[in-house]
Amino acid sequence: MRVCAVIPCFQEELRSSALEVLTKATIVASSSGGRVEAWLVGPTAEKHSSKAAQYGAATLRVMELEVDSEAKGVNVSLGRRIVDAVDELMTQSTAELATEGAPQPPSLLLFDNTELTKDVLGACGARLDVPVIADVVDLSWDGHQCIAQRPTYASKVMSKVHAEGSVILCSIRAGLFEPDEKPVKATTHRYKSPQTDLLGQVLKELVAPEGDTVDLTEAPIIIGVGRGIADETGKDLVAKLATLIRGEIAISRAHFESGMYSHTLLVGQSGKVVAPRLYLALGISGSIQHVAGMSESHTIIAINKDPEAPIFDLADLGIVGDLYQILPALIHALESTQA
Amino acid sequence: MQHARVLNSGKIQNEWTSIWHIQTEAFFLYSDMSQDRTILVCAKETPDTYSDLSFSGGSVQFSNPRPVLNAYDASALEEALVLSEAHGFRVHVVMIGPEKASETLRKALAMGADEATLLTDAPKDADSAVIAKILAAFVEQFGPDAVIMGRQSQDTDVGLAGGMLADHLQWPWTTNAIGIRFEQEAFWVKRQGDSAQEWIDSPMPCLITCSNNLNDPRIPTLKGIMASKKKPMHIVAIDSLPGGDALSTLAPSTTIESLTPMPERAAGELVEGDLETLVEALMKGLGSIPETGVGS
Repeated sequence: MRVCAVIPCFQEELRSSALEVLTKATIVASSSGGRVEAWLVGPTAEKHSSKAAQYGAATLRVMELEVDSEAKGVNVSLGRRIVDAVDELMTQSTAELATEGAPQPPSLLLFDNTELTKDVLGACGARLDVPVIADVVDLSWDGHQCIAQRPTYASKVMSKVHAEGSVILCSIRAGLFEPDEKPVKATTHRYKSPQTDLLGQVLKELVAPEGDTVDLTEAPIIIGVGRGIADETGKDLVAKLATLIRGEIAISRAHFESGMYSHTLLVGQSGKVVAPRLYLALGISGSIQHVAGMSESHTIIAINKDPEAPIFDLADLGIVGDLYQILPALIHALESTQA
Repeated sequence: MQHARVLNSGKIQNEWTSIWHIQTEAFFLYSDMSQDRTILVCAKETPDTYSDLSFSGGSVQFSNPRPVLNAYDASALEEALVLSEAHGFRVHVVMIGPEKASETLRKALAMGADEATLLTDAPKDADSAVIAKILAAFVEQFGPDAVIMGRQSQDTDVGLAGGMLADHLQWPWTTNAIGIRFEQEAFWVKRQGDSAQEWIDSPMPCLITCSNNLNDPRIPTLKGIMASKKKPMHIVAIDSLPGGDALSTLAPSTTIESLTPMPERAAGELVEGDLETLVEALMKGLGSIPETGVGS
């Protein structure tokens, strides 16, 4: 049996979500008696392979992949290349394991839950014709059956999902597992990428606003900005606070429309789903859609002038007051402790 | 489609419920499409998950008992209608559901779609994989120039059906669209990625899944609602699709074993008072998180 962490490698640094998937793979493997593999796919696959071994993968399957666009430090490939790569790795590795005299081993393929994965997970499942469970927060596997927990109904309900088969795919929500080093001696297998027919599709342009290469799902501290921050003065206060508490800025739907911030920063059911150490909600009322994207945060602190705001129902600490008074005073207090 | 229009233009058109009974014979006329280009919007009916939720005997009830058009599919339909207005596409909406779902599908016609098909008698507990196989059979028969659909449904938040459908069809796909243009005989899709936006150009036919941040779907006008009653709605049993016998007995590869309320977060502390009190509480809260660097 094998638990395979599928890791798209398009950046200079390995995402922490990839390390979380590796960690979850080692946990599932140790309880099911399986082996951990890392499938590294992308232009930086070779570079990241040693790190995968450091996090418990005894078999490294490395496939360099062509990039369709490279701009401002962000590499992107069209999803079809990744689906073809996963398909090829499954075929090749199964054939290798068969020639070693072993029967085809049951395989659990674990993905992270980034937009990149969401782009390809369904297509991978259809291509391999195997069960897929998306966005799980916990799972168990015995080589045949997989039982996974996944939030549903805008994260208000936990759904227990069952799948069975010799190959099963799951994507794992980011921020829930602490990456845990488990160095092992690994063997590396290298594969040539298949010739992908892109069916006429072209990646024309990558719009990566300067400095906007923040990946919120990776951030330990997130400052969520809602309607309560209404102008440039407020935006400046938030920026100062972010520097002082090492936070990354996220937005609610209100600011998707205001144009004050980049759309990439949207957190919610229709944006990024995050689970940082701290989510500091500034002037966010706490709509169902927004909460679905941040309710798994380890600690939530909310500031809102409306004591009835629904965000206070899930905040560990709620502060009732005017942001435009509180933020300058808080910034002053932080500056004086750090001075 | 001419035959279907004839069927709807006589006496029946005043009695739209009768359209329910225009059965599969109309379906085989899809191959006789006019030269109009067609966008097919795949839509789903969901519970109103934004209304209050309660549990009873392991199942979930919502305070609004009326199902709704999945918000993400509503955005997909809105975008298809905008493209239709600018470039003359016909917009056809397909939905898998019970006959009662025709009420929700009728809303899509009221928003402005030209025609709709309801695929009934789906296998029990169909999951994304089953839905994608049924839709693939329909799309292959129907032959649209593009499929536009929501990137996920607002009830399950699974988000797999689009990619599965694209792979079955062997069509190029783009997910999580936040902007769509039609230029030089191709769809230009702006996709929101993890840390950047991508402009991806796909020739026809192609599949696009939409974010619900793409637009604000229009509310049907009274005129639209009246007009929708005269628009063709085909009710097609899934077993009458090509390969239908196998489709109607597909077993889901994933099953939901139970639904339980999400563990509630313990109620936190609510602090009110003067500015000094508030800032003090905040400093203490921020200081308790090592990653902020405040406590150190």
